[in-house]
Amino acid sequence: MESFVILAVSAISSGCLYGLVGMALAIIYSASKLINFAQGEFVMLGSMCAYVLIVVAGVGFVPSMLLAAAMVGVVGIAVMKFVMAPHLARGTASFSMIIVLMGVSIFIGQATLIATGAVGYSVPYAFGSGSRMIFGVPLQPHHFLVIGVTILVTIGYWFLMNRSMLGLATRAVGFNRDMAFLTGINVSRIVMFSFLLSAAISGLAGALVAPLIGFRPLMGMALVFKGFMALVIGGGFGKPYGALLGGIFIAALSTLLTGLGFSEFADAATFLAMLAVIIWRPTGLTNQADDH
Amino acid sequence: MKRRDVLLGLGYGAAAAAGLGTAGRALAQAKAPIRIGVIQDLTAAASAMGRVQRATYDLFVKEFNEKGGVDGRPLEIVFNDGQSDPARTAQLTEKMVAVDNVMVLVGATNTVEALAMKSVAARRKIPLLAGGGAAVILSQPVDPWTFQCMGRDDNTLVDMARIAVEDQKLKKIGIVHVSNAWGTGGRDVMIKVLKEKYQLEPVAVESAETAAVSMVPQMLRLKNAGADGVLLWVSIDSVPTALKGMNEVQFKAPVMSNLACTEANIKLTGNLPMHQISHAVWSWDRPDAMAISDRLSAVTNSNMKYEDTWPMAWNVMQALVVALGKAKLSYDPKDLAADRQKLRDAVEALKDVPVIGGREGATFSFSPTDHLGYEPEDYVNKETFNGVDWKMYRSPTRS
Repeated sequence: MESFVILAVSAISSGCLYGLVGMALAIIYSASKLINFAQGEFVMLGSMCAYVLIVVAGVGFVPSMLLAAAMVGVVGIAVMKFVMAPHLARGTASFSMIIVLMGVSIFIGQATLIATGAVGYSVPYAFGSGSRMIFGVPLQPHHFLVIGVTILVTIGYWFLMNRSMLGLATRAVGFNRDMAFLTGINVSRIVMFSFLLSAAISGLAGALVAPLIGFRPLMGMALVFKGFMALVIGGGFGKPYGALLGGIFIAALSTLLTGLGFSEFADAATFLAMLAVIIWRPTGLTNQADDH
Repeated sequence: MKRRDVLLGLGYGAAAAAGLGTAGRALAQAKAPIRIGVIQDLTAAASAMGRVQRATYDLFVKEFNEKGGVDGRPLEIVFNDGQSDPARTAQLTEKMVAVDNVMVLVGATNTVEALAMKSVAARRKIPLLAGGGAAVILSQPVDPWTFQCMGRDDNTLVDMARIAVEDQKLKKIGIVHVSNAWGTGGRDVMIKVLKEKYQLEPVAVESAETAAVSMVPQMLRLKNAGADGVLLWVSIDSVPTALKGMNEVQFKAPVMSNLACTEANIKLTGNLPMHQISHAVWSWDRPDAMAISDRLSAVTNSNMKYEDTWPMAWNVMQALVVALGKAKLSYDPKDLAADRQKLRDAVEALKDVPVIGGREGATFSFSPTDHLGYEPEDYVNKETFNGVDWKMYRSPTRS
């Protein structure tokens, strides 16, 4: 039972991190129909901010996490304003804009690499490195912080998208940009807002993952890959909690196989699961077939 | 003979020697250089190693040219940044061969790039001296044009098992490895060594993906299997994740790792004994090597004493200049293909060339059936205990 609880908490925590990254991808996709290949670099920047604030400046974990989200959010606005906005104004094709975002990804990654070197930097846990006995089971409290923050972000995102004019406008732009423009919605401002929100959530994810894997310049791509899988499996393009459920599904599958002694097959099984979902339920686990 | 005549004779001799030296250097400047095509990573993931290797090549060439070069010809490095990208590396290698007309190739920083260079070298029939990448993959099966100048991972793995079983007296060993080809290859060697040499079966063998955010499940498996020690074969980035996983599930056991045994990482395990065993060309107990590391430290403005990348690069250049000296090349641009063939033959015929990495007296030898320069008995493994106390481990085959 103890092992089960440890594994379950670890899997949910890992799944939440994948879910946050998936959610960040979905936000930009919702507003612009773009897959942001620079999302991983936003996550990496969040980890870097956490390292600088916590280790170098001695700021507490929670304020560092919030500051990291704010700082990366500013980077998101900068990317939108100086890189994407001119292309949006020009009506550049989506495919070209995805290439531009890949360029942004490479630029941020390489610039960070040159500035910090290829080595990894360790970031301490929010509540100390040791596990605590919780209901008689040794657990790392950081996992509960990850889970709690993810739930709050998911709820907040749901309210924003479903109970506010801003969310309604964002959904309208994602549904039909030209029609939204004709109804008076400031499309470029909505897309900029989506970059801000997406980058801030990525920064948050970066700060949360930093104590688990540290900060290193080229860490982002692997997380984005997992986030994208979470998004596809969970159906997060339509529902905020889809990416979260998809992330937990991926992590739970991997943890289950490892726990049963089949760790070698964990990677392959995750891809197989994604393949199965794409074939039998292309809109994801949380969506009906006609949701899109 | 009068004392005055002897002194005069010595004076003339010294003057003549000095004149010859100057003339030799002048000649080296006058003749066309021997171009060496080098690829290392200055950017991307492996750039930390690549930058050290480049600095080493530059220092070697500078010092060697000051001594007169080969046949009065200076060495010239044509350098390119591979960026850990095999496709880019292949393109740049083609360019160096076809456009820059280099005589020989040297590189790369990691295995996939080295394999890309190997492919071009075989097709273009130009010798490649590899100072990076997985030694076994590059040297077996023997490719006529590729020569490997670094140590082998399997030697490190043998020592990891030896320290676990013989020194630490562990009986129930668990293995955690990364799920890529390098990781599974290392796992197979560890299992084989434990079984054949010590008649031990690992109590658990767990795989972890390269970018895992948690290794809690793997470490819990090892703990529940009753493992009394861990052989850890994961990437440098994943070592902290593995140790945090151990700490989280309160799995207390000594760790034998190939990488990243730092004080910070040891703290993550809750100050458990942690050993790092790294192959092969470490040489900080050799005065001749330390003299080079001091000069390299001065030009790179960093401490190269404990750096184990530069001896590999130095070895490459040492082997290369000996081969160039023996190859009897025409240096006629029209005969470039023939010269490359002669140089390849000369490298393959190298016997007992002294190299700077490895034990004192270590040498390189190649043959048509063996393109791995090191012999197992020349390896020196370093062991870090607790990230602070350093100890040298000789190769198990060395008496």
